[in-house]
This record gives sequence, C-alpha cells and structure tokens, in this order.
Amino acid sequence: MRAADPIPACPVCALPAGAGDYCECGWVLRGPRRLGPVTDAVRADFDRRLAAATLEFDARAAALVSSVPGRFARWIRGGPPDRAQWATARRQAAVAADEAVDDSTARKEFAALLRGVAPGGQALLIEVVPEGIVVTRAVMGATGAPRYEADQPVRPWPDLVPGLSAHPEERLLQLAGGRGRPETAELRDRLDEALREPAAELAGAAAVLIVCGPAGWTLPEAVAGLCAELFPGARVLRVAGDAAAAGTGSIGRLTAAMPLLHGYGVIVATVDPVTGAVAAATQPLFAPGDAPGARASVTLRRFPGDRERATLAVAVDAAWSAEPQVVAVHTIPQPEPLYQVSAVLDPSGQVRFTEPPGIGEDSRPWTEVRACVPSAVDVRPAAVDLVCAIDLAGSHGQVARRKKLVSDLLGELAREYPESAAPRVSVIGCVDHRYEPGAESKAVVRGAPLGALDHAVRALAELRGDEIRYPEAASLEDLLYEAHRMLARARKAGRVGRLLLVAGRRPHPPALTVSPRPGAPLVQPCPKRYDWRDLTRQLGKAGVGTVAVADTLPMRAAKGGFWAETGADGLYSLPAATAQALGEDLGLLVREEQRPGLPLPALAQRRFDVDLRKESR
Amino acid sequence: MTTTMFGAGPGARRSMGRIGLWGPPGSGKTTFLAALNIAVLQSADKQIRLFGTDTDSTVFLKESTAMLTRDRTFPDATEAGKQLSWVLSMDQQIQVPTKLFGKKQSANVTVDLNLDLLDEPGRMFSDRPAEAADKDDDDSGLGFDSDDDDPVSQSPDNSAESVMDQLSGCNGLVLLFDPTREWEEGDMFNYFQGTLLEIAQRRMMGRAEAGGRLPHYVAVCVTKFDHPDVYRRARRLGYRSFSPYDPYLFPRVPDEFAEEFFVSLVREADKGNAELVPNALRRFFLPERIQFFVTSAIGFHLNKSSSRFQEADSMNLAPKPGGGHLIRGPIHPINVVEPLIWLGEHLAGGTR
Repeated sequence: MRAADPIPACPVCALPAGAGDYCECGWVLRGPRRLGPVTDAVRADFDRRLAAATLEFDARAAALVSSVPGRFARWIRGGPPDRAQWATARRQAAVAADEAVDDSTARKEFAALLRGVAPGGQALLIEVVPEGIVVTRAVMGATGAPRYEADQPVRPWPDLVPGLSAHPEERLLQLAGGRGRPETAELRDRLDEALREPAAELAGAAAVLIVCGPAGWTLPEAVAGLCAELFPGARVLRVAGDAAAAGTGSIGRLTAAMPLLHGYGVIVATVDPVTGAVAAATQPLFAPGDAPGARASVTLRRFPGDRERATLAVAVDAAWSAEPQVVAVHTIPQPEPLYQVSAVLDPSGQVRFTEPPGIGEDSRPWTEVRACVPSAVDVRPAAVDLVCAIDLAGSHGQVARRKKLVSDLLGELAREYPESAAPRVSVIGCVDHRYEPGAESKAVVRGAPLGALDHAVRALAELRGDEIRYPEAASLEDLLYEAHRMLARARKAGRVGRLLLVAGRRPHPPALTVSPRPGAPLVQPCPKRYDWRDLTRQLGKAGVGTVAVADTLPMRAAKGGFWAETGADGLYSLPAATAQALGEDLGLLVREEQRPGLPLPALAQRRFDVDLRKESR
Repeated sequence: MTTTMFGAGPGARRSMGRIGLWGPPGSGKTTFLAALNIAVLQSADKQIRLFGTDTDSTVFLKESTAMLTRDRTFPDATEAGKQLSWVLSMDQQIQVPTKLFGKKQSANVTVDLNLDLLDEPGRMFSDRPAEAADKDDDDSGLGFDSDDDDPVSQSPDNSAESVMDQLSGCNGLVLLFDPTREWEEGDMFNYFQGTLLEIAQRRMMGRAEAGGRLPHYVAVCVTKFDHPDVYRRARRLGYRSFSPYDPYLFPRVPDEFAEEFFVSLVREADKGNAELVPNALRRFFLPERIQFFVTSAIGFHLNKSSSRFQEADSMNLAPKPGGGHLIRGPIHPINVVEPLIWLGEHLAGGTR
C-alpha cells in the first residue's frame, strides 16, 4: 500500500484544497484548462496573481490586527502593501469584523446572562482572545452577585495549535488569518481536550457565553464556533477588538471590566434602640453598575467608647438576611468618632481602600469576625435624650463633686460622639423645698432643657449650689418630674431616654407617711405632691434607663427603696462613680466586653434644638 | 380658793382661783402657754380675753406669741422659778340665787380666772429631782416643743418646795402629758407621782377634804396631737373625729374619749407606767373633777391650696438648717383654751 499523498493546500491561505474549484479564500484552485505549453509568461502571470492574492490575504489579516500599516510588513508575503492595497485590506478587515459588538455591549450581555442564573448556579464564560482561551466560572451567590473563579488556567494558542509561529507578531498575524492556519480537525481535538473538564462540571445546566475577540480574526472565530458546538445553547458574542491594544494582554478583560451587578457596602453594626440587639447591615459604598476604577467614600462612626481598630468588611449590598457575601475584610484605626473611608473598585470586583491611612488586611475570615460580634449590647448609639439631674443642696465641695462627675460624663460624650449624633442633653438641678409660708410653691428645679451637648455643658457650669434647707430630704421628686416630662415621649419619637441622678439625700414622699414604730424619722411631703415612686415607674414603663449616684450609699439600698428603684440600671456611691462606668450603664458608651468590633453607620440626624415648651404640650 | 365677787348682774365680775401648770420636761408647757393667746383670739364661741397681770407676764405673752407667729420658732425653755400671772377673762352664764333661799336664775358674768401659772422647769416635778437634773434635754426627734430643758440654776430643794407649795394651793391644775416623750423616756409616771404626793402631803395632812380627796379640778392635756405618730394612732384606733363647725376640718379627739386614747397611747411605750396615771388621779382627785383633753399647741398644717386639713400634708413642722425645727405655717391650736374654759366654768360654778 502506498503511503497517502499529502493533501494539496491552497497556496494563499494554506487550507487543504477541497474538491471545489475555489478555495475559501477565493483563490482559484482549478481553473479551466489552458491550451499550449506553460510558458514563462504564463508562469510569470500565475506568480503575479498568486503574489497579489497572498499580499491581499496577509494584508487583510494585518489590518485586522493593527491599523498601523507597517507593523507586520516583514510577515506579509509579497512585501508591504502600498497605500491602495492597505486601504483595501482595511476595508476587507472591517467587513470581516462586521456586526461585532463593543466591550460595553458585551458586558451588558454578560450581565443579562448572569441575572438569569439562580443563586447557587453557575455560568461559564469562554473568552477566545489573542492570548488563547480562558474559561471563567461565575458562581452566583445567595445575594445574586456572581463570584468569579479567576484561577482558571489559560490555554495559550501554541498549546492548542502547535504549528503556529513561535514569533508573537507572526502568530498574531496567523491568528487573524494570515500566512495559513491549522487544520480544523486537529484544532477540534485539542479544544475538546481543553474544555472537557468545565463542560462536564457544568453538565449543560449553566449558562454559557462565548466571547470571541477581536471579531474577524480567523482562528478565534473558528475556535468560538467549535466551542459553540461543544456547548449547545451557548451564546456567542463577537467583540470588536481594539486594534491598537491587540496582543497586549486581554485575557479576562470582560470579567475584569464587568460592572457590579449589585452594589457593595461596608458592613456596619446596627443596634436595636429598644432591645439592644446587634445586627449587621451595609453602608453603601459602590452602587450597582459601578465599573472598575470607580471611586467611592463612606462615612462611618466608631462605637462610642470604642477606640480600638474595627473590622472594615465589604459585602455585596443586598437584602441578605443570613451571612453577607463578603468580598474584603480589613481593619481600620478609629481615632475619631466620625471618619471617612475611601475606596477604589479594582477589576474583578476587588476593593482597594485608599483612605484613611492605616487600613490593613484582616487575617481573620469574615465568619470569625462575625463570631466575635455580641448578639446584644447595652449601648444605644442611636438618638438619645439624656437628663442629668443633680441635687444642688449641700456644701460647696459636695455639690462641686456632683457637678464634676456630670461634667466628666459630658466631656466623655463630647469626645465619643460626633456632633450630628450626639445625645440631646438636659442638665437640671434642684434646691431644697422650703417649708415656710409663701416659699413652698416656689420652683426648686433649675437648669436647661434638652439641647445640644455644648449647651448642656454651659448650663451645668451655670448651676449654683445652695445650702441644705431640709436635711431629711431633697427635692429629687421634682427632678424626676421634670425628667419624666422631658423623657416620657422619647421612645415614641424614636429616641432613647436616659436619666442620671446625682444626689445626696432621699426625696420627699408624696404624702406624710408615718411608720408603725413611734419615733421613726418623719419627712414632709412634696409640696406639689410629686410621687417619686410613681414617676420612677413611669420612667421605667417609658423605657427610660436610670442610673443613680448617691453621696453615700445606704446599706439597704441594694435591697430596695429609693436608691435601688432609681438606680435600676446602675447605682453608685459618689466616690466610686466614674464617667466611664456611668456612660456604660446609661448605654451611652460601649462596654469593653461588648465591643462589636464593627463600625456604626453614620446616619445624619436632624438638628434637635427643640423648644421644650413645645414638646411638653 | 380665792373668789372675789363683784355682783351677779350684767357687768358683774368674778375673780376665780389659781391654775397651776404641771408636767414633765418636754411636755409642752411653755409652748402651751404661748399658744394660749392665739387660741384665745381664735376662739369664736366664747368671749375670752387674756392679759398679763405684770410686766413679765405681758412681755412673755408678746414675745412668745411673736415667736410662734412671726419667727415660727418655739418659745425658749422656761426659766427656773419664773412666775407668770395672767388673767383669762371670759363671759360666763352662771346660776345665782335671786334672794336668800330663793330659786336660782341664770346670769351673765365676766369671770376672771387668775392664771398664776407656775411654769417651772419640768424636772421640778420629778420624784427624783437630783437625778432628773442630770438628765439632759428632751428630744423627740422632731423638735416638737422641746422646752423646759434648761438646767436648774437655783437650789433644787428650795425651788421645788416653793413650786410644790404653790401647786398645792392652786384651785385647778393643768396636767400636761407628752405621749411621744413617754414612748422614748417612759418617765411620765415618775414625774407625776412625785408631784402628786407632794401636793397631797400639803393639802391633805390634818385636813378633811371633801370625799377624802384633793379639791383641785384637773385638766389632763395629752399634748402634741399634731405629731404624726400621735395623729396616726388616733385615726387608726378610731378616736379621730371632725367638727362640722370647723371650716378647716381639723381632726380632734372628743373629750369623752380623750382618757381612753391617752391610755391606748401610753400602752405602746416599751417602758414606764403611765397607764397608772388615770387611776392615781382618781385616787387623789374627785373623778368628776378630772377631764382629759387631747391638745396641740401649733396644730396641723393648713395647705393654702386646699384650705382644709389634708392628712397627707399635715405636719406643721420642718427641720431648721443647722438643727432644730421651724413651724411651717400659721398655727391652729387645738384644745388649748378649752381646758381653761372647762376649769373656769367649773370653778365659777362654785362646785368646790
């Protein structure tokens, strides 16, 4: 048996000559027979026509690759094309790339394809580009945001088509269709091998998008066609190539440049103003449609009292109810109560923080960070109304010590709260009731209504002490009445009410009470019949937390009575009380053991210089 | 007894006997006297007048009234051996015979009751003066009328003799008992019986008194009814009542229940034998000449916003900065003048 003769190939495009008279490239393979001998003139005519055809063929491929006329001159058979030939080549290249879409359209098509993938499903993106073939798997998250598995290996053309030139420039020309191309059957085998694994994993259930680019390049278009046969139903997109950029690295360009299907947000902690339950939420950072290169900023708050580094986690901004889909976990210093974070959206949905300095990657995964967040905290960083009520009767030193404690607390709040989120604070003080004719009806409470923190600081400084006029009791019930008036409706207004009472004596009862034991101390009732116990209970029902500080704490205070009831959320003796402890008990500062380690959202609050007279109506 | 007759018709005046004030320290003697002037002026149903018979008494009347009303403080404690003499003048309707052995008929006369009140320091009346003098003041914890506490500067024996002589020579006695002191000190009976025996010795030795008992009329005043501890017990035990004629509706204990109330009060004391006092009184005085009254010198607080007594805000005392107490508002004496009226009526009736 005689060995098979090599299949004759087209002298222009190098494709095997078929049975037809013409090659795909238009070269006449079998013309009509000519009479007479093959003369030199005939041979010269053939050579001239062949040279013109190969030059036109290669020039067309060169025009597909680059708009620069002389870039591939050395690889064009027949030498560099003249102006007219190059113009013709450009026209032919344009025809070849006709109906191609641009990158933007391709991204939209891909986004549309992804939106059709159910959460947990997969999509396959096969990009046939000048470098080779790259298969990217997109796994749809529970929140509807895809996660690209970018570690898919690239199959370079030399692996797929061994006969290609080793020279990159000549290989580009070959890919575009110049200087011959490999045989399709061999290419199919190699392609089948390259895509077998992803095809098996997808099992035909996923959406497949085949992107071929630049459009018009002969070999990529052929490979794209073969891929389409491997994945029935796959959509093929021919993308117009950037002629100037071709060959400079476009692998994964589509996914890298994909806009965000869903926005990104910084994970913040929210605190239920009533229960204190902590939940994670996102503060918007990047919006849907933001493309790589986009810049964004978000303003965050630290938890009042928490000056440690916080976790700066970025998650897909969606209505997630379980675990967020976290795309980045960093840590950030929190030197100020309010700070701004700036970030750049990098390709493939990566986030890079640019401001403030000191942001570093967190070695912990999000699940570990989440596990450290307490389920509930005592602090209420939301809108808070705080009334600081002080007994102003006593020695100068003792009154000064009470005021100093409140001053320390207000100072701490000023350091820990941004102005826009600072509590509304009222500072009020009471002097003693005077059980004298004409003096009993006089007001004993003085101070400032709820207002800005700095106003409260000034009001505190203006409070003057007074001598003790009724040693057995202080007008604390009047303070409670005023506090109740200011705080009772706080919860309905979406605010959190808090009361701090700093005093030295017990209040007057609402009515003269007599002990069954003769000789027990008797205390005059409040001239206005205010009932401290009733007011305290009403404050409790209104959700107002109360902390009490007594000059000296009676031993029985822990069991019951005035101090125990008014100090339901915290009870201290004056020497033992600190601003930090009071702030924690009042829910104004976070306890160290309850630090969520996440930032708070910096919600803008309306100004709150509210006229109390209006509120009391 | 000294009774001076100036006739029996209109404009007639009678000068009746002497009244002695008797009570242990802190029982409220000085304040009782000071409140008497105000009580007299507030008395609506009797034409009563009170005036001093000498400068000291007049000055005391002025000053003590001013202290109660203007300064809202209690009068200073009694100076030892201070003799105060007032005249309580009241219009009385008495029965007088028109002629010898004829029928008696009513006549309006002005009765002058000589209140040569022996406002002596309380410990003068102790059965153990020397020991009692070592004890310090009375402090009920609220400063309710703590008087009579000054140390005795005179010779106790001489002063005591003098006072006992004068007491025994009185026609009527106002015996003051402070129940709050009894709860704390339990020494009421000691003060009472010592003095009682001294009086008995002076009046009964070698004399034949009617019924074998002392001839005095005795108004026993249970003081400090305004004290919440006392008032609360009156309410709890059912002795409290209100007069429909009192526009302020101040509570009172009816006189007919005053003795029962007194006994119930002193029974609550952990120590002392004050419940023996009623029996001792009946042994030494004619029972019909003994009457108990529940009194208050300063009365209850009247809240201007209500214009009526309010139990929830009834205490008329307030602590004073630096110690002590102040009277909170206007005073409304309860049963302060009534014992004297009772004494005057009975002394003027000549039933001795």
